[in-house]
Amino acid sequence: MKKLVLLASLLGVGTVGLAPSDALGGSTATGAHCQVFNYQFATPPPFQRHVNAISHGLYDQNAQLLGVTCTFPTENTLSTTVNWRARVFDNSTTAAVTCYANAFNQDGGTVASSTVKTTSVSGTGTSTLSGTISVSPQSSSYTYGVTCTLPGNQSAIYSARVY
Amino acid sequence: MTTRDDRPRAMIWLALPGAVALVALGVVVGRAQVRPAALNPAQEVAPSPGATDDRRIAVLEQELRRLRAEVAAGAEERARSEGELAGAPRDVEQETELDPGEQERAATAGRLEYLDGLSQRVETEPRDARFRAETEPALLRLLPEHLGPDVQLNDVVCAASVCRVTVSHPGSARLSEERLTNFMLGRGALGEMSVQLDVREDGETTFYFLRGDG
Repeated sequence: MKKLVLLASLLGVGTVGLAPSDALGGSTATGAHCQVFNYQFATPPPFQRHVNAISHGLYDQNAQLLGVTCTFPTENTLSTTVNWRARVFDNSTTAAVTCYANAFNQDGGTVASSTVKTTSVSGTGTSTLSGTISVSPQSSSYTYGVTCTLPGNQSAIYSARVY
Repeated sequence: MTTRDDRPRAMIWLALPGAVALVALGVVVGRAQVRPAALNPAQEVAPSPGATDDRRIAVLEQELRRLRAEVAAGAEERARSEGELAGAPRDVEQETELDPGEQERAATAGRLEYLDGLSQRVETEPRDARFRAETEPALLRLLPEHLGPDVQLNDVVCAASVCRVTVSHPGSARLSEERLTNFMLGRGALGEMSVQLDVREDGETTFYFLRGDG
């Protein structure tokens, strides 16, 4: 009987421990959710080569960088250290993909920015850029974004996530 | 033929078997009525070889009743504690039940406290001459380059792990997000530092640059 009670207790604790309400929060955007913004007052053509990605529209290796931002809805389950990552395709031999993450207040103003991450060697294909952003204290009114510049020759961003 | 002296001896021989029978009956009745209050269940479900099937069934039925009672009591206890948990406000629910204005004020107060802490860090940390020599010139060059000529850098101080720069922009309450993004993407070596912004004053923005991700 004691064993039964112990087993039931363990099952109960396990059930509570894995309840959906305690799952880690986060938000993901495919590249198609990302938006182009005017970077350095010039906007090369974006191109949706895949339905789930946004790409630089030019085949020129030395083309003007394409500014892309992926924004996420408010996540009030995130901690004060927000992780971010972006899956990118660097297809230029002369320039790199660069990304960083932002936290915005409810007025859309930047309150914090992460360090900048860059693909290590240009033209290396697909890679993941990642980092963290400190937000203290966390607020349910904050929103987050991952901002990148894509070099030419069809470089792309496939997905981005904060968690 | 018995004599008058033989009568008591005969009575004794007659009474002795009766007394033995009475004692035996008492022992049987006593054992049946005076059962131990808390017998080991294992002993109960494994009666002595001489026990009858009826007695075995009775013992099992008694054990079954006891288990049912225990399960019912456990379920009641569980339901009661779940009810108490459901009635007790959880932190997250409490937060969502707070007035949104209250939440925002609390977050703003916490944010200002955090930024004041960063400012205090700049004042109290020992100075790192090498870090200062590498970082302050980059700040003085890159911030005006990306934020525009109409901003003024009032205060550039680097300690050991954090730098503070106060930028005045009297022409607008807030720095343009477009220029800010251009700075963040074009900050070069400063990209190895994370940035916190203090925008509590209109026309002025204080940047805190922290080594690494802060």
